[in-house]
Amino acid sequence: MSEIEYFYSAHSIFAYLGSARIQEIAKASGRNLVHRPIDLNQIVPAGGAASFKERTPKQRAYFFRREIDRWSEERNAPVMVGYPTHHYKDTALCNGMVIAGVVQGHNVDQLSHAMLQTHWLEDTDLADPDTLARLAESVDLAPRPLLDAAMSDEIQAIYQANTDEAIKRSVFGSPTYFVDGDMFYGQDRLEMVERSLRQPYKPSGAPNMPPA
Amino acid sequence: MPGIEYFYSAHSAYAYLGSARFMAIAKAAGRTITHRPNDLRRVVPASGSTPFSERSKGHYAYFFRREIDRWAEERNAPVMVGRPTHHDKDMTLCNGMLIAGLVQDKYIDQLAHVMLESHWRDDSDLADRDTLVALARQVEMDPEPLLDAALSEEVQAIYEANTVEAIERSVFGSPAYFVDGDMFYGQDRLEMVERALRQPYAPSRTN
Repeated sequence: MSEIEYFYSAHSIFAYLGSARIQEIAKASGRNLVHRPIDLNQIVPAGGAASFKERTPKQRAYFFRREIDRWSEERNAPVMVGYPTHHYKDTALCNGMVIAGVVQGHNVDQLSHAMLQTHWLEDTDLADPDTLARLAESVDLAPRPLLDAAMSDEIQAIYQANTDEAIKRSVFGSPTYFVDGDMFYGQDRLEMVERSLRQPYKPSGAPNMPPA
Repeated sequence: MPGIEYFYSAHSAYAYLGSARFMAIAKAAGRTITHRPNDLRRVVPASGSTPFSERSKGHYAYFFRREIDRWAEERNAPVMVGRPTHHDKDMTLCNGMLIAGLVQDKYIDQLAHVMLESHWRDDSDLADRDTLVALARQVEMDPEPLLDAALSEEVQAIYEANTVEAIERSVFGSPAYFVDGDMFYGQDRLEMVERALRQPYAPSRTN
């Protein structure tokens, strides 16, 4: 009863837009945020959604520009103009670094927030070890032990296990929050996360499958 | 002041879940609602979304059960257990009836609301003429002139035009609201619609 599970990737725009708010909600409810970084390149296709590149220009204009800008205003989370230069680089290192922090017993809330924010506000390269070292220092964490462990077998096995579990539990993308098993997909559901921490929503019956 | 454009179909679960709230928001803002019923069976595939038949069981369980139930609780809009029996019937008559109301200068907010509500709460058949007669009477409208016009060329041409325009303007599904040109897709955006009516969001810069 003392946790909120948080599946996301450290480069995810909507995780960034909800980052300050989920941390505030968790704190107000007295729950720990359990960071479960995942490999979005495996999650999104497994959820049955079209890959980003297959989406139409109009979908991208709405979901990846207009929605970002309005939510950025709504959440007071500024974003850079244009798309982050290094957005398509491999995210194993930054996500591994967050997991290493968890394994080494640190509170990674601020590190995670700094990664998300600088990627989307300052165009940082989250695949670059020097950038990650600087970000860790900015939140008073020693970078070396985290970076040394980030790509280790132990940490990467946890990264893969998070990803496999997310797929099994029908996570469609980032961010996804679980409150006592109830899944909330998207930072636009944070007000419902907050409500469910006060008063859980009633359980549901079987899914409404359409006729075959 | 211009109306808030409202693209939806009279059988849409999420249009129902947002219906009362949307009408309250429009009223509080002193804006009218410009109803634009459209043919969802053409709008959804045209948007580039994965067809319903290809979505996973996990997708249905989340988007068409858990989300419906939580939002029903949130919006105080009760839903029936299970999927409406008549949900896959042709919706031309009920959507046409709404458009006929507009053509005949009627105020159709309440008629739209009772169609949505009775379909999702009481399992009503929106393709059945007698059901639509009863719904119109429930909101003190004369059903016959509306039903007589619902399938007319004039009304069906508007239905078609709404559908074509929805596709052109990137409507992804039902409901979608436009506040002075800014599109909000989904009843989960109603609080942003409300905010946009007070203070428009800053325009986006193109990438």
